Amino acid sequence: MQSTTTRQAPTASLPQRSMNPPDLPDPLFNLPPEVIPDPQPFIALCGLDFVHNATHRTIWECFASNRGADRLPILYQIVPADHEYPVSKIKKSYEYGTVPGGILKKNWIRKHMLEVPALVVLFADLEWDDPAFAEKKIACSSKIATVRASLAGRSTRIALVLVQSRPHTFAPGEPSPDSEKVNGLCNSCELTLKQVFFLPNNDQLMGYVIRLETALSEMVQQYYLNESKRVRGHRDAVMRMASQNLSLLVRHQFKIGYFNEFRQDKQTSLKHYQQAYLNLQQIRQDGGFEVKTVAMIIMYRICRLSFRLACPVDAISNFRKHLEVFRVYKGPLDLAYQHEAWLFRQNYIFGVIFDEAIQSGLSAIPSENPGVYFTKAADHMKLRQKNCLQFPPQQLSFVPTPPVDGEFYGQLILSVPSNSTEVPIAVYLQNCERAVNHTGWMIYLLNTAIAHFRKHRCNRTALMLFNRIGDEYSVIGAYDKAQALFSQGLAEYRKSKWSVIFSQLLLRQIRVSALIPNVAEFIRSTLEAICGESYLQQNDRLQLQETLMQILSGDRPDFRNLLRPQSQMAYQKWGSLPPEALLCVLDMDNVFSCVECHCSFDRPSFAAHEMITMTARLALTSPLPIPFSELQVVLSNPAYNSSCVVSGDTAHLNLVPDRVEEFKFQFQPLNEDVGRRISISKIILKMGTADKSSFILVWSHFGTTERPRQTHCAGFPFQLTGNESVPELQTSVDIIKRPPKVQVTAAAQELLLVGETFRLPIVVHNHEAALISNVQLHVACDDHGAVGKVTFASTGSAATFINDSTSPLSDIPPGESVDAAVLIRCIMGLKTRIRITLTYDLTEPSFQCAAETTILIQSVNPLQIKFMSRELHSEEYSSEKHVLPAGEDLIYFTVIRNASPVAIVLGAAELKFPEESVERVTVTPSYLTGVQLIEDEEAQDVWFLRIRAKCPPGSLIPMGPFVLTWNRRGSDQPSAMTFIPVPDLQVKSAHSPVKVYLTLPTQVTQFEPLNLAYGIVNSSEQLLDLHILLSTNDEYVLHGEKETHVRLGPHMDTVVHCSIVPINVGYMRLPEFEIQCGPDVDCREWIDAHLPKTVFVMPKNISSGDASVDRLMTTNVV
Amino acid sequence: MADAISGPSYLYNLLANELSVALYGDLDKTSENMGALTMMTIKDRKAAAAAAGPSSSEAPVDTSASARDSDTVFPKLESIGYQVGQRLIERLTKEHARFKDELDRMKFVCTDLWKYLYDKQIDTLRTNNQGTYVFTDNLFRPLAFFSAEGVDQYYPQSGRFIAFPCGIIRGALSALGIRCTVSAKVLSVTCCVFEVVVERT
Amino acid sequence: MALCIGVMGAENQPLLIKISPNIQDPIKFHFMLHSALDVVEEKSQPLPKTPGSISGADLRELYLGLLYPSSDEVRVYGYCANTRMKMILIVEASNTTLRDNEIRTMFRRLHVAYSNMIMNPFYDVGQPISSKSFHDFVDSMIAAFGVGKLVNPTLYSVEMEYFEDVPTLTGIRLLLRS
Repeated sequence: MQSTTTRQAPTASLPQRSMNPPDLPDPLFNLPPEVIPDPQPFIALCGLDFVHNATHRTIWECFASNRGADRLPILYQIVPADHEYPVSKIKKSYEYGTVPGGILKKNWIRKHMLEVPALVVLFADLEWDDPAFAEKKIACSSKIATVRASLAGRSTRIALVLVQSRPHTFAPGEPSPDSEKVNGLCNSCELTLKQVFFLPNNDQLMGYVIRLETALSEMVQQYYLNESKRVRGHRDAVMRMASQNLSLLVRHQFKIGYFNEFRQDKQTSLKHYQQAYLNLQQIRQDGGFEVKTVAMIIMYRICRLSFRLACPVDAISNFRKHLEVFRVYKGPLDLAYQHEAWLFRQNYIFGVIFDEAIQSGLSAIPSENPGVYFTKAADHMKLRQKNCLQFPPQQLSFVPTPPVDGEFYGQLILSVPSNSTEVPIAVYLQNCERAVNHTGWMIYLLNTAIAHFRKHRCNRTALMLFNRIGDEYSVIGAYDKAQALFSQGLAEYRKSKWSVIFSQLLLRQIRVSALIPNVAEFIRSTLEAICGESYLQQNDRLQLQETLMQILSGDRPDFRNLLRPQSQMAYQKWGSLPPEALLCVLDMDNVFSCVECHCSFDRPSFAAHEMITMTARLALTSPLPIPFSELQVVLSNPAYNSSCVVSGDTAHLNLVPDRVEEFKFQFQPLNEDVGRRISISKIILKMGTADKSSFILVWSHFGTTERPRQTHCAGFPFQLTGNESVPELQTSVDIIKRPPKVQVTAAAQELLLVGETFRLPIVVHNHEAALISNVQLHVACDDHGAVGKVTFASTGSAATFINDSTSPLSDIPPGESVDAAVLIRCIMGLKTRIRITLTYDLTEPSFQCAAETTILIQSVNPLQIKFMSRELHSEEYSSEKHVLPAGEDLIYFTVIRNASPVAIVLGAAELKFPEESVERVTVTPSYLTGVQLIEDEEAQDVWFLRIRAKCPPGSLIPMGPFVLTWNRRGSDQPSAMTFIPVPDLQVKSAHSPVKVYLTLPTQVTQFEPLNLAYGIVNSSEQLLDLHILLSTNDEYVLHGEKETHVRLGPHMDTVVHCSIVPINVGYMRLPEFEIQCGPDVDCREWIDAHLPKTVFVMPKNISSGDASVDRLMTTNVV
Repeated sequence: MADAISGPSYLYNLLANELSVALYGDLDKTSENMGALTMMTIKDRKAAAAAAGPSSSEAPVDTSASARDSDTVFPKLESIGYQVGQRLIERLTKEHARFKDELDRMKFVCTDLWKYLYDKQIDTLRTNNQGTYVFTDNLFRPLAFFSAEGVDQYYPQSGRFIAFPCGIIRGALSALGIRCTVSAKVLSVTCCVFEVVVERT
Repeated sequence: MALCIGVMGAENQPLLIKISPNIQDPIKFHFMLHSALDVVEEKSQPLPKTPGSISGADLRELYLGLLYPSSDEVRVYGYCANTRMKMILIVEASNTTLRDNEIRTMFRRLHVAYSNMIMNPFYDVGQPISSKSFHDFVDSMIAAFGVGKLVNPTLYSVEMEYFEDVPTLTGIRLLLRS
């Protein structure tokens, strides 16, 4: 509030705040500035030397600065000690019955706010131990006396503050240790102890000041309470009168309310203000100027307090009642504008208070927000303007001096020359009123209102106000501003489909555009206004179109029908337009124009050799026909543009209302566009004459067009469900390759074998009428999952197998066929589709075509290979775990089974093994070469191997691979070579000290003796005593010893013989062979593994069958 | 309030017209009421099932009994249902207090609308509170007559009878301000589950 | 006499606006209706209340009552259906015979008429209303309303309305085949 840097003595003053915006003066019913702020207790500080004494300046700054919400609301002012306070009127002979000159005196508020202090505080630098204490005490008391004299008749309090720099330990207000000195001071100054304070001047000065402020505030409260009681006394006196003086009553009630506001007692204030307002209503002066002014002031305070007390609903209802009460007091007819001005002012003031309340945290709703009141204020401003302007301006014969404010609120003193007594005052006042910038006010109010409506989610209301601002702008001739606002409104109403408002607004837009003049906007709006969906009168549409036709034919439009008063102005402005202003491009998107324009390809796709056909449809919904000069469809590839133009010379572009004109375009697609998409990017329609005025209407954004309109579904009278039946516009078209006339035939009738090279024959037949060249056969896998598992190669020499192969074919004359083939190799059994694509060129006309076919192939792995191994003398075949002893002879088998239904021929087979670990005992020729296997047949090959003795027990010997060459039977392709992984051999860890072998003859016959020769080898390093037991059963007769003793030296062997005669046919169990040779030698495991348990016995008189039975058949395979 | 139009019979007439034209392409077969339509539909389905042979008894799916149905008839039926639901809800909610929230609206569809249409309420309404609602009707009227013989013979065809109710639900909710997609699944012959997924913007 | 009745769709687009023929400046009422939609929207979907703010009661009734505090000229009443179809009625402020209850009854009857009207399958929900009987009904409301007792409601029942727009059954047949 105060500038602390100024060197002049700071004085409190009213905030220079006015309700009016700075550039919009309006004196009528302006709220007096002193009424606006909330009253604050007024304390005068004297004895502070602000200029020369730094301590005093600091003290002042502590009082004056940082007056935030946490400080008590107090207004301080520095006054000199000998300040003259306003003289108090002695009201001892107050005549309550006399009629006062008015209701509220203008200077009263100001006087109590800024001139009559509630408290005068005298500051004095006085230390207790000051040597000149006595002198200073006297100086102090004399100053106090001066102040007291100046305040004679007022109950203003006085306080003394001693500024002390020396530290002392007691708080202000406490009796000092030197109570004698204090009492002396009090006595000499005629002050009580409670009126004397001490202000220690140290680091905590601010804190002390605040404590002092609280103490002072209590004194102030008391003062204002007394004042209000004093006025209450006056009021009571007035009320006791027989004929109540209402003006005085209002005045007193107001004063009581105001004093209570000083005390921050808002409730009491409100009560008295309301009482004042009620009393005011009883003063019937037919809406007199003064009553309205005072009512405004009181209502201002009431509403303000209500908002402060968080009762916004009360404020609103009070305010509404206020308007209701004064609604009927319209005043004299020739000053009717004054009533509107008052109403405007009420609404405006209330809007401002409301806004302030919102800024301090109130939340409002759409139906109750400041915008409502600003709008009403604007309404009344409009009426005020209308009421004022309806009287013709009259020249006055004299220049009156400006009106002087009277002594009371709402009183205006007009000094009129004495010689012109009958001067119509109303005329003078009307002339004054004309100086007010009504339009500026309205625009200001509406803009403020819009801001509030926007804030409170009232976009529609805000939009309406935009249009009103536009209207005001067009009244004052700011047509371009109006046009911008109207455009905004038009877009919104068009979108929200409020067509009636839209059409009306459009008419304004047209008028404003004509006056700017903005040719493009004028034409576009006119096109929209004359369309069939417009809500304008048919007559208006006709006139608009006539104007449009004038412009199109190059004439200057006269606008007579459109803008009656301003038509001449617009006519002149159009005359001065440069010629190029009449050549413009109009963007017709999002405009509901009277010309409807659609273009659609006839089909979603066209082949390269076809003519692309496209249909453009134009429809007109204006009242009169409109001629157009050219229609052009612009495609995404500009190369076609020359094919997509029609001009008015050759086609019927003279559109007639409510008839759809169709224009067909066709053109050949370019080869470069094959495989691409062409879309319609724009439609351009030209109208006007080329030389004088030309307007180019442009439509783009086809896909987003909102409303395919009725004209496009003519003949379809009912729509059951939404847009279901509206034909969709085909705004883009795919150019696909010319369909081939070549037949590609291929079929894989046989199963493919994994690993083989399969030749797939393909027949290509040329049905084209001409020779095809550059023929390429392309084969690839159709299924992503199978890519890499099937490979292809062309049939040429040294083919490499890749994922997709391309092979060139020779040119094919028309009608002929060519046989081609492709090689396929699968690496695993699968079922997949392969795609065969044939591309070729035609030369005349030049096309590239592609024929495609897919076939299903299925492949199986024919080779099912099993590996078996056994020790030479063992009966046990192992196909899973190849655990074999080192140093022994082994037999290793490969069993090859054909798992496919296709017969195969085997070629060479080779088993690879590491030479350093395994040696071959005997080299036998492969039995496999040339063997044919049909489905489920098996072939075996055998190798005699021995693991070298040096291989440590338990170690693994990697084997393999097994390489097999084979082919499909009858295939002309090179044989497949399959590498088959071979399981590892493991060297047996345990070593039996005794080994027993038994060799059985190939054939055993019933009742014929069978000699069993058990070969026993001692492979240990010691002499062994062996006790051999043969247990028998009843399937045979045993000859020989059942129990034998053998003694074997290290690495020696022997043979134990016995003979049995089989009794039964079929499988016969052999004797159980058992060796007992001491506790530490166990050869049971060996015997279990190596000795045969059974033998097959043939009947006696049946020969043993074919000698070529595989030699291995004799071994037991149970 | 005297509602002059008897809602369901009008609806069913509309449905009957549409169904017969859509499915048979011939209006002459249009019957006057739903009952006749039902009978005829079953008869026709029997013939169709016999013609299709065992291949038609594949695992039943929600609304795709055959390519022709799903391509043309279902969207059409659904769209008619949408129109019906949209209009019907205006009538049914005009005495109803303003809905509080989305769940309130769903409940209305499950209770009042369903009662109006099928004389019973949806049996369970479940939601994940994230815009997915599942209505389960254990004895869905349009499917109720299927199970007369206690066999699942017409189970594969039952999907055809839920496109229209789906549309009704979507239309009703759309009119109540909830944009959603509705799908349905026939669990057993008479039990139908509707899943409503609300579109969040 | 009611001055104006407006029926708006869910997207706030006008479906039918009827203004008393005595009104000189009908466009003003269009603006009024359009602006009033702000308040209708607010009242039908109120924000959560905060203490100390100005806000109306939590309206669960479809009838929204007075939208604005009554002004010098007109009173504006609103109604918002569960389907967000909105109706706004504007009456003269001087017409003191109209009680809240009568306005409510009138809105209900309008709503019934509307819900009957949209049963017409040839009417696209959300498009401007062209049904003659609905127009007549609203006209009668405007004319009769406030004069005294309401006209016997059955007179304006719009039952069988959808047959008006369909000339014959063949109309349907053609449509369905297409």
